[in-house]
Amino acid sequence: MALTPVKIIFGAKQKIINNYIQDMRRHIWIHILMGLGVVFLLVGGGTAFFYVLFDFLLSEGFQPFGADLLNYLIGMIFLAFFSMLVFSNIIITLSTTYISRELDFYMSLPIMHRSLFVVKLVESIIYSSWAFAILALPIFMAYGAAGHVPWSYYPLTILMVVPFLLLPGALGAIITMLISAYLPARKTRLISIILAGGTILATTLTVRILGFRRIFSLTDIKDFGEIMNFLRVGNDPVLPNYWLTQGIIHAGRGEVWVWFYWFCVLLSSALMFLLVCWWMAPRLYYRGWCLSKESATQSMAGGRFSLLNWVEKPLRFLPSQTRALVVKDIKTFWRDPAQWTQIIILFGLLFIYIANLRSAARYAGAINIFLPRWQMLLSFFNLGATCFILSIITTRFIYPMLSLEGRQFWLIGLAPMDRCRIVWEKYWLSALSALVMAGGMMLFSNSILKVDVVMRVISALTILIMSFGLTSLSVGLGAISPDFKEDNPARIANGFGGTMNVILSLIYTGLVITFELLPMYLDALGRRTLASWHLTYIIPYVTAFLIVNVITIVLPMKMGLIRWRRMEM
Amino acid sequence: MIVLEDLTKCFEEVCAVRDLTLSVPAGEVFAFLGPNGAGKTTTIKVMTGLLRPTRGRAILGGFDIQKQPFEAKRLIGYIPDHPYVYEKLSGAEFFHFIGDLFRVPRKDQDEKMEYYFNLFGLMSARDKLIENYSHGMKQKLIMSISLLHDPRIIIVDEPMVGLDPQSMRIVKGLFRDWAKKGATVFLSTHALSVAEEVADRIGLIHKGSLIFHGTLDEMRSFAHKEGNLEELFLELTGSEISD
Repeated sequence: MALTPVKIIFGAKQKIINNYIQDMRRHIWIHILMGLGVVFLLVGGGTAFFYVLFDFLLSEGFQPFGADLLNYLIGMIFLAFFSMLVFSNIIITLSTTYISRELDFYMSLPIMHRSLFVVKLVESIIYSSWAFAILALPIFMAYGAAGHVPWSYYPLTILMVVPFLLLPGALGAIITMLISAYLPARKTRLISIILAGGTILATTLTVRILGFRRIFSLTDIKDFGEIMNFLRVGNDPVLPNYWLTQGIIHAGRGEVWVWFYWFCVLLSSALMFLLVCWWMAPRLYYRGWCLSKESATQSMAGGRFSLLNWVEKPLRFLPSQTRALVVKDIKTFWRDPAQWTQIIILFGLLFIYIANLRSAARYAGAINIFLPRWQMLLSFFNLGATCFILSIITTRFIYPMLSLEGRQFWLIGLAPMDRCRIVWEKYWLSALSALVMAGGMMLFSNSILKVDVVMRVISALTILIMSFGLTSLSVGLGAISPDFKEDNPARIANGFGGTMNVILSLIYTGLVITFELLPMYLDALGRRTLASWHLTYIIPYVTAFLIVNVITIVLPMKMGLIRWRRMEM
Repeated sequence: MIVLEDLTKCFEEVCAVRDLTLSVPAGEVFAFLGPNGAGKTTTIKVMTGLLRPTRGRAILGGFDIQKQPFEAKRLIGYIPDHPYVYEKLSGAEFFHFIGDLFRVPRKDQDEKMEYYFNLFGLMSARDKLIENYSHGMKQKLIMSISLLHDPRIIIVDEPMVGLDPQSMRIVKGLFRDWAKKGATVFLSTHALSVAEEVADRIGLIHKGSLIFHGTLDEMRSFAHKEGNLEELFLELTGSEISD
């Protein structure tokens, strides 16, 4: 029997993956160990965190509200996940289904547009959903552990997640098809801004209409009724996050038939949206793809009033070669839709984080009763979270920078300048950008949390030092193991070197925060008084802090520069 | 002037170029020919400093490319076979980028841009992002940026790929003009008719070794055969034409 085009294309993609694995067979065990390390760190750490939180909510002292609060809280988390999944599916479907270069080839073959769309839809759903799977796993596991659920909970939950991922994938594809059929797909940046703006506007309107502002104005958690009402709004029975939550709750209680009901609700909805996709694809996909190709020919390097025209002037003080590299990096980054979409998703997550932080700060007074030194822990948690986000940003955006020079590297190689200049240029550009971004976020979140002066100084210094440390790691490792064959920054960041970079960055972040938090927390708990803050007590922490930072700032860059200088192109 | 002395480049177990000794004086167009995989591109990459030689040296304009790379690179204009460029820059932005790397004053850059963009018909596309250029347009852009710092040595790898007949004619004229002005043009190509038309001398590399270099007449004597360059090439490299 002849193979269908979908099977043939997936067969070819599977061979590409096999070849990729073959290609790295020399380090296969290191890859496996590193992958397991990352999963262990993220899933293990996340599970521990959520377990403490869920266990706290299910404890005797928190009843009779705790269990309901936990279920509503999970529903709210899944609502946030669902929104982000729809958004990321729109953005990723736009790039994989309309802009990807291999489409030029596929479109020239005798393949039905619907088949091609199915292939690309599957790819988009995989790309959009893997992060959700890693982020959601700790929540499912912690819920199971805290709720002492039967073993059947785990496989039933995994089954429940499948339609929950398909639904936003199909919904995102429908929205993308409609947008692309009537708006050029190359205008990703514009579309992203419109979508992001629309989401923020819709959220603001909903908050106002439903009176959330009143909830946010609470100063303590005495009025549980109000909080429950607030959380209940996010758990509306018409929303898929509610169906998922109900499925998980009943799986946890061992009520398989009730679970099955919610599973069918979720599955049938996902299949219905997929059917709509199937029906729309032959009518709209080809039209949208052609429009994206037509609009590509119109793409100009910004108009008279484009901000990019003004990038060069403030950099006049730099030597011409360095200035040329900086301007080139800024322009190519700004114009790359792949980078833009990632930034939008990242800022979406930051928005959710800041909003949650605000709530945590509002209830700080009340939570202090249950958890001593909550305010201080929250400040350090915020510092840790900012550094964690910075680690992810440096891995995703800074680590691939040298690899992305790739096929164009001959241009740099031929220029009459030290080739290490480009490494230094990327280092300073990245470190200063990281400092501005993380510094701004730190100042903003500290003002929300109303932290004291000492903590503000500590966090500012930490961000200053770590911006250079994390950048040194990313640029240095990027120079040691560049991947010149790959031109997709996300794939470079997900590769061997990128994984190594994220692990080292997280270890570095963990060490720095520990060396800062430990002496202060012990002091705050009264095990050490202020009078005992003499040199012998502080010196080991300060020394360890300095050693870790000096090594991280100096060593990767030094090794990277040596490797870069010796490298052949 | 280009001088290659015992140039050898090996990759692990395979030697792509072996003991290549060659001299190309100023004012000459030198065609460097050979079958696929003969070692042409490797030789060029070693000459331009993109690869390090395993043995021997490449001297360009009196400067060893390994020991005095900056001085040597200021003299070189390199046109590669694949026009990999920064696609998210416009043609004009890319031109200025390269001009700044070579420290050419902005005023001179603007004059050169106007001249070359007009010559190659790129002026109307100067503000378009390069990702929208055709292969031939990219090739012409590369040629423009390679010549913007007035190089004394021009190294070209497959210059005619993707060019329309009009542009091919312009490029051939440019090579001759630059040689007349005293530049050295080192041209690697499979387009034997182009080599025959513009080259003063020809070098033939096969399986990593230079098997001949001299004029076309000297090549005929060497091969003991009359005929055009294509026939001589096939004779010397042991290839056959199947009709």
